[in-house]
Amino acid sequence: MKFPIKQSKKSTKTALIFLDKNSKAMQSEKKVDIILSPSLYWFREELLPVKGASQAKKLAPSLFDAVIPEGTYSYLAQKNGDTFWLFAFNDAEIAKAISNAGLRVNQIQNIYFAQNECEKADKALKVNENFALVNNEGTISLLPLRYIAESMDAQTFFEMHKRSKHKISINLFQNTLVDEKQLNRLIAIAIVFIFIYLGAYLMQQQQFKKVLTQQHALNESYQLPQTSFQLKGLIKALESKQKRQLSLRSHLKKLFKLSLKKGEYIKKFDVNIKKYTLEIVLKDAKHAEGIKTQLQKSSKITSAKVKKKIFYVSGTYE
Amino acid sequence: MNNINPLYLLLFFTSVALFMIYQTSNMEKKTAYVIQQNTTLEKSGQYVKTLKDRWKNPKESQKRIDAVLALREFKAKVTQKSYKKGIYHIELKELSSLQLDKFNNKILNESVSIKKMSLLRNADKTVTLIMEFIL
Repeated sequence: MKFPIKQSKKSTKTALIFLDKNSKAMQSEKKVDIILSPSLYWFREELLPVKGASQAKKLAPSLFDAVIPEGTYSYLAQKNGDTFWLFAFNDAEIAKAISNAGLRVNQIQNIYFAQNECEKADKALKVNENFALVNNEGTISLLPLRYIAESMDAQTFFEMHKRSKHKISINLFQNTLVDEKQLNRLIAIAIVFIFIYLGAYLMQQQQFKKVLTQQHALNESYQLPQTSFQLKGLIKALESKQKRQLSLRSHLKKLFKLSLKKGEYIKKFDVNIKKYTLEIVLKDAKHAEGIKTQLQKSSKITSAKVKKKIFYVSGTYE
Repeated sequence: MNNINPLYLLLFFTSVALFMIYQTSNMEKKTAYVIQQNTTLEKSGQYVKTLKDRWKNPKESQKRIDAVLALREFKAKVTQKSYKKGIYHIELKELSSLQLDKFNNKILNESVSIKKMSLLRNADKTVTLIMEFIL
């Protein structure tokens, strides 16, 4: 049972739906306010020895216990003068009725009980061709229209009167694959994971900062350049210097170990990293060739001459 | 109704949890990479330090050269020691061939940068040795 979708006065984008167990599917993309038919909830008005609605709500299950069929119910209590209005409703049943009416959960803006919204009605409110809402000594109920002498259009009534402040919160997600408890458990697990990994992340971040500081300290203590490219360049330059020095020592050793005949000696000797110059006093000028051959094994001879039994030779290291 | 579908909530928190797992793992990788870099840097640093100590440490190099020159058998032979524009110049005179051999053994085994070495045999068979070192 439903009203055709009409815009409510409150908002041009919100439609008003009277939702009954037998409401048929409809097509709408608009936001909707729902007024629940008395067929979707149980109502009692009681005088209770409690002060507030929250205390009254605690008593509601026992008060409805013998009245309503077995099932899972949510309860609501409202203070109304000296008495309390108590409601019992089955979330799953309401969710099913909403689903049958072709409505999506995110379309629904507010849900109200007909009990609250029809309180001011002094006539029966015709909801469709067969039924009307009637105020029977303060209790709104749904009756066949044929028993009612005078009625007014419920749609018109609802448009003329503002909605009450009594919105209801209903768990409408009854049709999900897992029930709410399981969902909440999974959400809790996800939150626990978030916190665990947040903690791990923060610790890891600290560790990261620490190793970066260590890296900085290493650079400082060894006076290393900032980039790995520069570091490679520095190592290459130092290795090259070491290689040149070791090579020079090797050349010097070879020069000192030149095989000379008895009475022959080096008169003058000049060596640097790249080249050398020698003046060797010979006994026999022919021995110059032998010395030259020895020198050619580790260097390139650039000039070699024998003058007055002195062998003048110079060369470069490759 | 402004209720949020718990499935969306679950999806949201699961996404956040997965994001946190990803971020943590990412941070772990970054840290491991920097630790590895530090190990390499430590090795490179020690290697550079050794090379610098050997070949690019002016104070230490001069100390090593002076230590050889200060040996009893060479001390009296040193006629010149001078430093100019990063070059340390030394001159030893009247070295016997035995002394020359010993001096060469000592100085060539030291970690000092030799720039130049000159020998001149004197008429009395002694040797004048001139060396230049890069400091």
